[in-house]
Amino acid sequence: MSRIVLTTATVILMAASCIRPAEDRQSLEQDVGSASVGTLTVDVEDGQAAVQAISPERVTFWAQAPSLQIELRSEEPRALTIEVYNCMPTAELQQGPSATSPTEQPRPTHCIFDIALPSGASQVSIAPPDWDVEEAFVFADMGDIQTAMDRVEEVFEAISAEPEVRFVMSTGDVVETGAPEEYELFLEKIVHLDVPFFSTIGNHELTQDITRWHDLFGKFSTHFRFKGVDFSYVDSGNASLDPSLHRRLGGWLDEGEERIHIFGTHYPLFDPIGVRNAGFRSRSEASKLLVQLARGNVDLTLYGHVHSLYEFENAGIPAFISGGGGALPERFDGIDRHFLIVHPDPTENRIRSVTARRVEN
Amino acid sequence: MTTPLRIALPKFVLPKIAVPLTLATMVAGSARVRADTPTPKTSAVMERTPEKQSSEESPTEKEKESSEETIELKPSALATAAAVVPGLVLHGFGHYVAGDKDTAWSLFAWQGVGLGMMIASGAAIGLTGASRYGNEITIPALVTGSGIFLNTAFADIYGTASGGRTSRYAIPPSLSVAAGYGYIDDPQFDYTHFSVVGASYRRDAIGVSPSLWTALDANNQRARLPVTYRLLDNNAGDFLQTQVAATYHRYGDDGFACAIGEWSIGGRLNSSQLGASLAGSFTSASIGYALHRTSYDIAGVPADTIGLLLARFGYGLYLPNNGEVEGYYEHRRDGFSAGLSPSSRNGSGFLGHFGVSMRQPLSDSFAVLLRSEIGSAWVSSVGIEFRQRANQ
Repeated sequence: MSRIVLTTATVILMAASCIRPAEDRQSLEQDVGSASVGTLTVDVEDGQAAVQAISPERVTFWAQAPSLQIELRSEEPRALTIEVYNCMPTAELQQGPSATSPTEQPRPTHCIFDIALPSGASQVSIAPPDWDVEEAFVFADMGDIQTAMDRVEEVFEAISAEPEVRFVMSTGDVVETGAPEEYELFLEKIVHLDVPFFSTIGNHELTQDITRWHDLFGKFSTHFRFKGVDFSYVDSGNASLDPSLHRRLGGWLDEGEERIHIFGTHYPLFDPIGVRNAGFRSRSEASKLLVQLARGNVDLTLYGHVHSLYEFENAGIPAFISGGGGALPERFDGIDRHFLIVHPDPTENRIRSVTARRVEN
Repeated sequence: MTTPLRIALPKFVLPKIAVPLTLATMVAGSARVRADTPTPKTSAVMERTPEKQSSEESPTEKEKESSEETIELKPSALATAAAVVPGLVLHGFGHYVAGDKDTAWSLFAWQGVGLGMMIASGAAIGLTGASRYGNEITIPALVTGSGIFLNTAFADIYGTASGGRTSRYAIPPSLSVAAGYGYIDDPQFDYTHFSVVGASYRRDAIGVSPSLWTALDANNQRARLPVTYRLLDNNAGDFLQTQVAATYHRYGDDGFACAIGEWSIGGRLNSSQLGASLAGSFTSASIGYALHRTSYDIAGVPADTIGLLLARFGYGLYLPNNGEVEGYYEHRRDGFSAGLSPSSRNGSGFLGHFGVSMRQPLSDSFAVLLRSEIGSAWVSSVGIEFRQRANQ
């Protein structure tokens, strides 16, 4: 009997360490965008790009937002090449040292800038020229590629064929297990996409070593403003938000209260099929978050995780589940692979439309 | 270590087992509720002796023949170890090593039932991509199958470690009131300390047991009123009951409230019906459905109402002096405990919470209550129950 009680107590104590499973990821995000080599130091504002490589002559980033503010510090003047993967197709240097040669753009989302970096601190801004002009635009939303990585180029090509799409927002589950070869394949496939792919993580990114995502793409949550619309795509990989992320989200909601604010995360807060319950692990936490979103005047909530398409409302906020990246599809729904086209209009302070585009097999 | 028992073991004939481990089998009509009352014995050797048949049963010749053999299972470290390795894979292996082959085969067979339900429902969920159609069948089957699977493993370990125990079910008092303290460690919410009060009243087949949790350091209250009706009850620990319950949970500091209306059916069975070495333990299960409505303290914001699957299974031990302790799994994702994320690498979202509860009478009038659950939060409570003397 005492052995049973002891075993039970041990299990409970071990399990108790799991009430904040995402805590380590919040710590891991702190260093995203910062790096140094010799006397050169790089710091991307809000960690909106990962530093994939750095040398005294070249810094390589993976962007997780349409506009980047970068602080560069050097103790001596130097020629520096700034290479940005996943950049906006029309991105340009908008501030700081001038380019010393024409911008190279080997692919629409691969930008290379050569600059003459003076000694001391310099601020560099890389963004498309219209990034802060408040006007209607279009973006795509998708999620849950996972086991369909080998044919995801069909989805990417379909998105690229949409002329107005400025970028893709992803609700995560890009990979199935997070094995290195899956990330390598993703980097091969994404050349079929002519616009950047900004993504949070899902539960499948957690299966193996999450630092692979961290090292390649940086943050697990992304927040930015584009053309007067706020985007917050947050990490719910454990069917929950870490409390520190709740607090950060609170700040973002306060900042964007008067603007269109689009919220995305992997797990639906509530699964409309309640019995299935493919939503947050705590309905109380989901309800608390919905209060936060409703008070923050969020205009649209976008989710993944469920491999189908659902349209509903939560706390009166329009909601879509779109997990059509190709992973094992939900059967009998007539949906299969798809993505969403979202049309926010900040001049009218409303979402004009959300439409689904099917990708034929 | 408890005393070895002289017990009667029917040979394993799966279709005739009157031991449905779960609601699924009970509902299917295979339940034949009866009480086993093993006789304590001090001998520590295997022996075979005649056993008296129950006068209210009319066993077949085959059953009669088989039940004329009784053996006792001597607890042994070797058998218990075998119940773990390879017993956690082959449930009943511990009993097999101990020489109790009938119980071993029963446990193994029920493991197969549980595993079969898990595989069938898991395959259905996987192959349909968790289709919106059919979750009402596949997910309860998965949870119930998991319950059967786990309970047979627990039973194998328990039986080989104890050999069966004399502690048994005690009819609860017809009236009790309880008061206590609750502690909740939930990183998402500010509350920690709660007062917990409750009561229980039972008359014939009907029982009602209201409870109220009130935060002492926050504006949070959870009131719950379950009403049960016993469909079958032998007053020896085997029963089948249906329950309706209403819950209102106010999160005043967080700007919302939840109202839940639910119905479920479930029960409990003495594990000794599978094998006398399991005397002193029980298994429980229930399934049901609820409507969960969240209303927000924001003008113009409509409430959200969605369904909620209720599914629970547990394995418990009767303690000396009419106490009992039970470990359980609860699939529901509402309330304080909600769902467990087993590790940072496991996204979860599917699991509910696990818990242990204990009720131990200190006298005819008082009992101590303990409960601890781990899900999205760690919820623990301790209380004292004042009991009207049990009517036994």
